[in-house]
Order: sequence, then C-alpha cells, then structure tokens
Amino acid sequence: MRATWTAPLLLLTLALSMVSVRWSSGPSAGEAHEAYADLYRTRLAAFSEAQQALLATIGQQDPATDDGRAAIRRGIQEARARMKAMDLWLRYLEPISYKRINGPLPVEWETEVFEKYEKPYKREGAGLTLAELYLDESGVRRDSLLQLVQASLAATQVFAADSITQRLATPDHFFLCERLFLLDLAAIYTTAFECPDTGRVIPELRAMLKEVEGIHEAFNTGFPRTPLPTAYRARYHAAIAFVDAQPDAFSRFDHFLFLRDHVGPLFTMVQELIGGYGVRSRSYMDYALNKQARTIFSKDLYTGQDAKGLFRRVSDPAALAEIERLGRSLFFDPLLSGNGQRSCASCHAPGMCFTDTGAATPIAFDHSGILPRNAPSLVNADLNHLLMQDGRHISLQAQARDVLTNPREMGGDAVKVLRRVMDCPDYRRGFEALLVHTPQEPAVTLEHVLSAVTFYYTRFSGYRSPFDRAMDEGAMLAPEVVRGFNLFMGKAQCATCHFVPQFNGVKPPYIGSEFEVIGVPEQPAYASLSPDLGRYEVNPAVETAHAFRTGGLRNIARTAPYMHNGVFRSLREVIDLYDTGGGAGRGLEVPNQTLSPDPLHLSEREKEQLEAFLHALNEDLPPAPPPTALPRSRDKAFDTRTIGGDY
Amino acid sequence: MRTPHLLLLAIIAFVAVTSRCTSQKELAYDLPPGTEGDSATAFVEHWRKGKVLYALNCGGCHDTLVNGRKVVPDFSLPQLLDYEMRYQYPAHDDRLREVDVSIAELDDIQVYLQYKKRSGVPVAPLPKPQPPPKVN
Repeated sequence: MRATWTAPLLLLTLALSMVSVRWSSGPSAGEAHEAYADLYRTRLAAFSEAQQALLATIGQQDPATDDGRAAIRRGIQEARARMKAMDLWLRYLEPISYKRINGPLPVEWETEVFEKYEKPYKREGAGLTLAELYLDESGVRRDSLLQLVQASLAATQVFAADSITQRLATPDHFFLCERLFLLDLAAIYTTAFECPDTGRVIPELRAMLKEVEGIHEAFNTGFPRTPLPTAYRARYHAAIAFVDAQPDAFSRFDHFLFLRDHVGPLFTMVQELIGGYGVRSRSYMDYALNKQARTIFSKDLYTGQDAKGLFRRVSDPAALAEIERLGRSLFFDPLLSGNGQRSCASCHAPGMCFTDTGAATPIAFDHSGILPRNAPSLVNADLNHLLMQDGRHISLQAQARDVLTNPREMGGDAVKVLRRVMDCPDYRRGFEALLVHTPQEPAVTLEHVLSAVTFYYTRFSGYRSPFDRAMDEGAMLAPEVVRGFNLFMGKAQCATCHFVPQFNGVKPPYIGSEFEVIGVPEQPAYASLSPDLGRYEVNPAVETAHAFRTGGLRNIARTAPYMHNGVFRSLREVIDLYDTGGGAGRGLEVPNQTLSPDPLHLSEREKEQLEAFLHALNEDLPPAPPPTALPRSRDKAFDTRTIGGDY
Repeated sequence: MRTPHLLLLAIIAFVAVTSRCTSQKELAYDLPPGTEGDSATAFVEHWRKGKVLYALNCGGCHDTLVNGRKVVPDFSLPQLLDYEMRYQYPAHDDRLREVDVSIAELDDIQVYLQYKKRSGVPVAPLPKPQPPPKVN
C-alpha cells in the first residue's frame, strides 16, 4: 500500500515544482497587475501633491494682484497637467467625484439616464476649471478659491478607495476607460469644453496623449494575456505624431483629420478588443453604449430611447413589418385626436422632415391661438434621453401619450382613443395578432398603439449623411464643409454643446441630455427675451429658467424655423445669435445664460463655411408617403376622416 | 346508479381541488401588509406582469432544477436593487439594458420576486468567467 501511494505523490511534487519554476521565472500575475496599479497610485499621488501645492500658493499669494493671480494660475495649470495624466481613469472610474475635480459650471442640475425616475439633483460647482474661471472675475476672494480647490482635492482622495482600486486588478475596466477616452477625444478634449483657456487646449491634449501612452505600456506589462495589440499602439502613436505636428493655436487644429484618420480608427479597434476579449462592464458609464457599434458615427453608437416600446422583445421580421404598418397608419390617422381632425402628421409632416416648416409654432387644438413651442423634427428624436424641449419625458411612448391627451395639442382621451382604434377591424385584428409578443399584457392597451407609432417614425432615424460617409468611408467633402466642421469644433465653439457624433446635447458616455440657457429672444429683433421658462417648468430652480434641451443638428438645414419658439427663419440668424453672444450679448437680461456673452468674431466667410457643414448633415431620408386609405371604423362617423388630419 | 354519481362527484371534487391549487400556485404572493382596495388591485397587476416578465427574461438562467422541477429561487432585497441588477453582474451586461427590460418592467419583476411565496431555494452562484480568447 505504501509503495502505491508514494509514486503518485512523487509525481505530484514534481509537477508542482515545475509549476513553481515556471511562475518564478518572471513576475507573478499578481505582481504584474501591481505594476499597473502602481502607476495609477503614483499618478494619483502626484495629482494630490499638485493640488496641495496649489492650496499653499493660494494661501501665500494675493489673488487681488496680477502677480498673485499669475502664480495661482501656474499652480492650477500644473494641477490640471497632473489631472490630465490620469484623466483616462478618473473620468470613468468615479464620474461623480470627477465632476468635483473638473466640473464646467458653478451649478448644474443633473438628470442622467439612471436617475430618470428621480428629480434632477443639484451639484454645486467645484474644481480646477471653475477655480481658473473664478480667477478672472473681479473681486476674487481667497477663501472662495480655496474652497473650490479643497473640494477638488477631497474628491481626488476618493480615487484611492479600495472599491475603486480593486477594479485595477482585472483588465476589463481598462478597455472601457480607453473607449471613453477615445469618445472624449472625439467630442470634448479638442473643443475647449473643459479648458477655459483656449490657448492651452492643444498643448494639454498633446501632453495627455503622451501620458496615456505610458498607461498603455503599463497595462501591457500588467496584463500580458489581454494586451493592446501592436497595431493599436502603432495607430495611437501616429495620433500623437499628428497632434505634435499641429499648430498650438486651437483655432487652427485640424479636427476633421484627427477624428477621421486617428480617433475613429482607434475606436473601431477598441470595440473589436472589447468584443474579442469578452470585456464586461460593471458601471453605469457603459449603460447606453453599444458594444456592437463599429464606428463613432454608427447610428447605434448609443441607445437614447427604446423605439419599440411594448414590442421591445419582438425580433420576427413579419411581426416588425406589421407593427410598422400599423404605426404608419396611426401616425396619419386623426382618430387619435379628440375631434378626429388632427393626427401626428399634422405637426410632424413626413414630407417636411417630420416637422412643420410652415409655422413658427402649431395652431392650438381648439384653434384658439398658437402653441408656445415649435414642433421639433421627430427624425433622430430617439437619440435623446429626455424628450420635449423642457425634457419632461423619459420615454417616447410617454411623450406621445402626453401630446395625444394634451387639450392644447390633440385633445384626446386615452380610453376613448383606444376604443376608437379597436373599433377599426383592421387595427383590432392587427394588434390582437401581436398580443402573442407581449404575453404580460392580456389585452390590447394604448401602450401598444403608442409603441407602434414610435416604432414607425423612428425607422427614419437610421439614415446617414454625407458627413458620416466622409468619416467612416473616406467619402470626399467639399473643402468648405471641412473648414466649416473645423470651425464648428473650434473657433465657433458649437461643439461645446452640440457633441460629436450626433451633434445634439448628449455627450460621452451618452447617458444624459444637456440643457442650455442662450437667451433666445421673443422676436427676431431682440426686443425682449422669450418669456418661456423652459426647463424651469419641470424643475423650478433659478438656474434652469429659460433653459432648453440642446437640440440635434442633423437635418437642421431642412427643419426651419429654429429655436424653441421658431423665432428664426434661417440658419444665418441662428449663427448670428451665437456669434453675438446670445441674448445677453445683445443686451437682454439673462443672468443665468450658459453661453458666453462675448462675441465670436466670425467672418462672413466663416459663417458660410459653418452653413456648408450643417448642410452636410442632411441625411439620406427616404420618402415617407402617407397611406392611401385609413382603416374603416364600425362607427361610420369616422369613415370620412382625412388622411393626416385637417389642420 | 350510485357508483357513477359518486365517481362524478369525485371527479368534480378533484378538478375543483386541483384547479384551486393551480390558481393559488399561479398567484402565490404575499400581499404587502395593509394593502387593500385599488392598491391591492394594482399590486396584483404588477405582480402578475412581473411573473410573466421574469419567465421571459430571467428564468432561463435563474430558475433552479430541484428534483427535476424548475423552481424560482429566492432573491435577497439587495439583489433586487435596480442598480445592482443593471450593473453589478457582468452576466447582465448585454441582457438587462433598458432596451431589453424597461424601467417599468424591471419594477414589475422586482415586485414579483420580492412578494412571491418563498421557495426556499437560494440563488445559484454565478458561473465563473471564461478566460479571454486570444486576440492578435
């Protein structure tokens, strides 16, 4: 018996010793990961030290003097450089704390996708960006400066918490950090969104790109089984070389080539790595992003809205075609309104890019005047997280229900509308046959009806523009269009609110909708501010008065008139509004304007180039003809209804 | 004549008892204490929808085989938090986005799992992650 046990034991000992030799011939997996985590800790310590030094400088210097302000400014810049050295990690790993370090506004009301059910929450400003902005104000106080930087330092310390650093032990977080970094390169880092001194945007970018290359090196050392491939690193290095060759001047940076030839291809590669390595997210930062999106300009880069609604689990092509058929018919059917005379198409005419280009604002349901707000295009509406111009709705179906039952818009009653729809045998048969796809609903509901409508019109959000083709397929664009895009991203500062790639108010990681106060006048002559309080009606806080959700610019050349009240008939009038500093720049009283009141000094030629770029965002929308007939109703009174409604 | 009558009665009694069992089984919930009237009606509607939605979206992975029978396990309250469900489980990464299960539907599933009768079966541990494939 003894001999029987001895042989296997010897073999096992030998095997274990081989394993031991193999692992001891290099650093253990744990040690290798530590090398990567060490870089994180080293940079975090350097960032903290730079902020402590800044606090000491603020304590020693007089911010009322030029010399004192210059010294403090140098301290802020040094701290920003340390922040940028680890921005790739900071932005992703703890976004709430990051906003205390690098928040762009004194007060923001946050409404992110995960808080959709909650009231917006207030975030008091803090951090280095605000400290730098505050330094330029008159009567700057030392204690206020200290407060802004102390809050930033406290937020920085959060990044040393175990709950964050333990994520550095597995490779998944890195690829998701890298992806967000690339999206920020595309949408934010080159646009002065978070760097108040435009003269430092490109030098900061240059330094940050090189610091990130160091992170790549450490990651490949730490995680040799899931490395960034050589091809990726070569491409990344080429991006650094490109930026190195660019002029320092922010207004002369070639955003177009940087995005098309460098950031775009890197994004495609990182998406392939995320798929290939089976990277898993544990962060709401990835909530809306689509792992399958191939390019930044893919229309499915992120999900803003669930277009299918109640039919979200339907994938059968025949069923989807039937939902679309029903939705199309309902979109043009005045049966959905209280008086049977108004349809969705009344204000969102498919032939006018799903808006009404003929009126500043629509006629009220009962013909008693006009509505206060312009009917926006429904094309790409699903690329927003919050809907309506004041962001009051969180889903397309809720938005549609609101319009349908609003006494000033369609004047319908939810119960009666459903009954009328089901009184049409064609609709009844169609929806009842679809019930098999919604087993949680034993009977047809208004939600089925609304979901069919939203499914129909969101089909038109899947199309692309010449600009998309230039970015993804290398299609040629006129030089004026490219110059216009570079202006859009640079001197004209449009991209600080209308973010790449959808040019709406949804910025990386594409989980929320942004609002801005730009001082839109009541009349084209700027005699007074529009009295519409906008977001304030949903969230009555002083900062939100006259704030509106940032609209998308795709197809903008087709969707005049512009602004929430349709006050401007031409794109040029809108560009002039921004060029002259919004309402405040024109002398209107807008104390909470988020747009700088300073003029942009755009030349006539530059304005033409901007318009050329905006025209290149016109998408290849197919025709959307109305149905030739509407379903017959058992109630004969409805059989004479007009396709598309009467007004 | 007496025997067929008794047999018929026995069959009716059997059907009545089994259908009552089925009915109870289908609606095996613990109504939150103090819930009545419209609130109770609304609760039952949420619970019923949640049960269907759980079977559609969750049961395939979470139901546990016990003596050859699929049993819905008992989830703890922390496991039923929105944030936990959406983000803290890598397996949910591509399956529990809002386009897969809406906010309202997730609420219904929570109601179902929180108030269903306890099965006594704990939630099975998550499968171990697979090693990453080779990427060139």
